[in-house]
Amino acid sequence: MGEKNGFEDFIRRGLEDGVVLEPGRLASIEALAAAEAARRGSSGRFRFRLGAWGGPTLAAACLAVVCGVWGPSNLSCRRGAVPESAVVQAIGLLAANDGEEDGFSGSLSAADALLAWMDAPYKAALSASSPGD
Amino acid sequence: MTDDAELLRAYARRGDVASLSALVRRHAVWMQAMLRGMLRSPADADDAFQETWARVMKAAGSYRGGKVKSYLATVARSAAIDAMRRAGRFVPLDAADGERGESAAESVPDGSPDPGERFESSATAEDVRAAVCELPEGQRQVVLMRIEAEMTFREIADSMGVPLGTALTWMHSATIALRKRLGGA
Repeated sequence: MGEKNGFEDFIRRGLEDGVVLEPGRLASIEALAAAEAARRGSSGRFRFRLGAWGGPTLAAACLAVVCGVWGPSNLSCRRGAVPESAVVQAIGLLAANDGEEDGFSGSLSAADALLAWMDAPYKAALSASSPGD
Repeated sequence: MTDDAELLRAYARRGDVASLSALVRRHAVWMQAMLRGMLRSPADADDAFQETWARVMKAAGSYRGGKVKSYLATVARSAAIDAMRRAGRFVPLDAADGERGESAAESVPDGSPDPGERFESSATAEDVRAAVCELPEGQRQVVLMRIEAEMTFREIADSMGVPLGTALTWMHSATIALRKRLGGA
């Protein structure tokens, strides 16, 4: 191996001689990384939606605030109750995340928006299975 | 050039596969060399290499700073030791590999040769690998983590769970054995 500068460098060169990262190995690690990222991404989304029943429950709680069942008198809201349009907008975002493409009009009530959100995954599944319709 | 910690965090936070891939390419050669030295078999080393990155991916979110190369080396060592256990080839670290105790640190100030020295030898890469593979377990691990992962002796001692003096003594003993075997001037 000839003359080298330093003992540790000499050993390092010997150990690393001919060692390369094979493209196939890199590809398999990248595939593993993508799968792990997807797994973590989906579990994060699950937490965000609080599960299948948690989401509607949260929306129902928002509705309750709008409808005055819970108001500033029994919630310490410094700004008062959330306007219904904001609740509709929030539900619209959740529905869009579930595949709702039509968008919610400003005139939609919170109750109708909630029902539309619950239908969104089924609508998305139906349109995916029958693209010609 | 994006630093290692940034690449690791980009994968942990955004699932950025390109960042993880850049990290793998950057650290592939030394890590594979270290794993081959530890496991002695290229096939076992390849499996441990993949296992190391799988563990890094899973734990990326819990990375809290520090030298990424040392972190990777610690994960790689752990993957290699698990592979040895599975293969029934695990050898517990033996104090008899070298003198044990903090006092050893005093007699071996840094455990490594003078950085300015020139080392001459006609030994081949194969000779070097064989010589490293013949070292006792503890000495071999210290040499590999010091030379390949460029860890400090404190980091090596912490990673191996041995006193600093033991890590220094093992490096010192290994250096003497390797020089003798490889015929350095």
